Amino acid sequence: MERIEKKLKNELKNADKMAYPDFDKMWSSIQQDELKITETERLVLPPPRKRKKYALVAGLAIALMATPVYAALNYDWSDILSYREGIQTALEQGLGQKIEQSITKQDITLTVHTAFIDDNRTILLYTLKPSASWKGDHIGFDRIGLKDEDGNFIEGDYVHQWNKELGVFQGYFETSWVAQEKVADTQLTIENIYFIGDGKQSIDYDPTNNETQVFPIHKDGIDHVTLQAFEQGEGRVVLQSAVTFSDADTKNKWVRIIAMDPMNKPIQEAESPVFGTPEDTGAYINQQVFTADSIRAKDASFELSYMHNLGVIKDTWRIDMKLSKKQLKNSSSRDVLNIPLENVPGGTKVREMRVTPTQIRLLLTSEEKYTHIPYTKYQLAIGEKLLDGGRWEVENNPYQTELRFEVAGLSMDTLASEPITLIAKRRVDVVDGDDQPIHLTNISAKPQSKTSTIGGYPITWTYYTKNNNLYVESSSPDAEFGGVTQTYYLHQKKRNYGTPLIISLLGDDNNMQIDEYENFKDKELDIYIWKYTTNDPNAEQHVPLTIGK
Amino acid sequence: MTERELFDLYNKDVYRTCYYMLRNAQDAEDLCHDVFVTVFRQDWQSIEHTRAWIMRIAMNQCLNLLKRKQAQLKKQHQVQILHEQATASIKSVDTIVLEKAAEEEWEELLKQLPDKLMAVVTLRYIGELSLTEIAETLNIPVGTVKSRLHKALKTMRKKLEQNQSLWLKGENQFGTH
Repeated sequence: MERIEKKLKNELKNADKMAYPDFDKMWSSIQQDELKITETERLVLPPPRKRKKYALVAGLAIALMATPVYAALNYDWSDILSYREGIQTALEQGLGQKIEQSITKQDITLTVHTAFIDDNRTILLYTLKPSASWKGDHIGFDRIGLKDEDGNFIEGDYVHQWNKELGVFQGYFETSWVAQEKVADTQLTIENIYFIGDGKQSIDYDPTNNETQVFPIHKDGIDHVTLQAFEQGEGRVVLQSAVTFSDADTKNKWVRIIAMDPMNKPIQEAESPVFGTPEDTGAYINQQVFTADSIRAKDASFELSYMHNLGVIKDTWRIDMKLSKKQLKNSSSRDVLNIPLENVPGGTKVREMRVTPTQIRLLLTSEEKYTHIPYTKYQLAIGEKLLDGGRWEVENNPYQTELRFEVAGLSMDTLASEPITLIAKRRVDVVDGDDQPIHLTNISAKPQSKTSTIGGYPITWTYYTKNNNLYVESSSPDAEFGGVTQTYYLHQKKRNYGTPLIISLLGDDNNMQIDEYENFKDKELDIYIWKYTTNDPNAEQHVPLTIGK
Repeated sequence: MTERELFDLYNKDVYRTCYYMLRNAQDAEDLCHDVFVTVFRQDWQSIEHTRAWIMRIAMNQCLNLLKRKQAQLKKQHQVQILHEQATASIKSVDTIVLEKAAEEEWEELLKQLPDKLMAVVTLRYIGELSLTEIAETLNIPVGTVKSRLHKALKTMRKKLEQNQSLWLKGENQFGTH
């Protein structure tokens, strides 16, 4: 091995063999102080004084870690925090403000264990212990939130799950609200606790019949469910269920269809299902895709599965806390970047980066409202580490979008010294349709087909009437084509849009869409494409944000 | 030290690092240029271990560029010709044939090294960084640096064995170090 090492060293180090560039010329060019490769990638160099700030920050972070809070470690939060890794990491480092305050009312004890408050968000870890005799599978609230010193109610999201060993619900409450002062008097409030059980109702659905089928339920707040199936090609069937409620309280209780094989085992969906899209009528739409073979197998059966309220305890649980920013605030930084995103519409740029020990947020701003940022997957490369992130809408501000990345396994030191690059992947563009009509002729119950092209992509159209409605299906054999988002026809220069029946997710691999035109009687129709999408799953854009120390 | 002196001292090492990482003379030249612009924009005189610091900047920029381009190292015909010219001027004909075979083999072998291993190899043998400095540069544990270095050598050795290269004779083919 030594010989190979020696040879390799010689090979790499031997100046004779290397054809060097003209270093004098390079030197003159360096004097111009302009970057060649990196400049075009809009590399941002932090000014030297920033390094000093970071150095100070790192020192504080270490000092904070040296005085850990162990109280919350009695509970294992890793499961519930699996999508909040930054909090889990901070917890493991002993960061976070110990609260450990409880309130018991009507035999239900609410405890706030630990609070995390930094420049990005406030998170509280809580447990709820119901009385030993409680019945149900889940619990829910009418309202959960924080009240600030002025009594303003601050909403947020919560997630909790049953811990069987300890007999408690463990969860977290998260809000982007951050106290303005260093210490804030705050109150966590939970109003009315519901006990929720899982309910089932078998339905006599015939999967071989694509006609609309209606099943009255009249039970547990559900009035009826309407099922409709569409063939999707590749031997798949889109099963669409519309649930109509008789009791508004039952809404959002996850009503869905379970298909079961002859052994009575649930049949897995062939694609990720989409649940609970609200419709104008108040119904709630689910879309599940199955392979035709699986649900049309002999002896396959179907049932409606849902959650329903078993009881409610009307009361309010309140815990007063003094939330302190001290611990995490000191090791946070906020940098204005203003780096334009190339090939992104709407003059979009990365306006600023807010780094806290638990999360990095990039604020994107656009000059146009509701700009579609054409990527569906985001990562931050910090040195060799990759953090996965997600896109969030900024409430009440259509010009802004936020990318949030949980910081896991990285110290503030690393965050300050390593170059940080934003990686945007899987591009999906939304393109306006054209003014070329697609002429549908001989419209009848018998499906007809025709083809057209838009932007170089071939589209196959299939149209037919069913129950007095016209259905227009569009799809393309080109996987780059993401699908027609909606079609319309012109009536006295006014656009009449079809109702899309398929709920499509940007970037999914299904480009089939079905538009429904109700009460259609004509034999001919010119329809137009409103917008369509294109997919580039291999697209990747790298945007260096900081160069590191 | 003046900026020019610093440039003269490290330009070849930076260029070689860029060249071996990027496998493209033009990219290596441009990036080498950028590395020094970056260096001079910073308070470089206050940096203690200048060499390691510069090599670290070079490596980070190489890795960034590689990632951006998703580049697999491409064969550069031009470089091979230059190698031939360089060796032809000083060797006898017989030696040229043997040397050339070995050179091409080495070129090929280096090209096949994955970026991660190549980064460790160039920092070690061109940058002359210590294992600890390499670990800091790449933000990986020292143990990983050692294992990558070992793996790189082992990979090259294995390839040479497959090719039944002449010059491996004399070395214990089954020995481990």
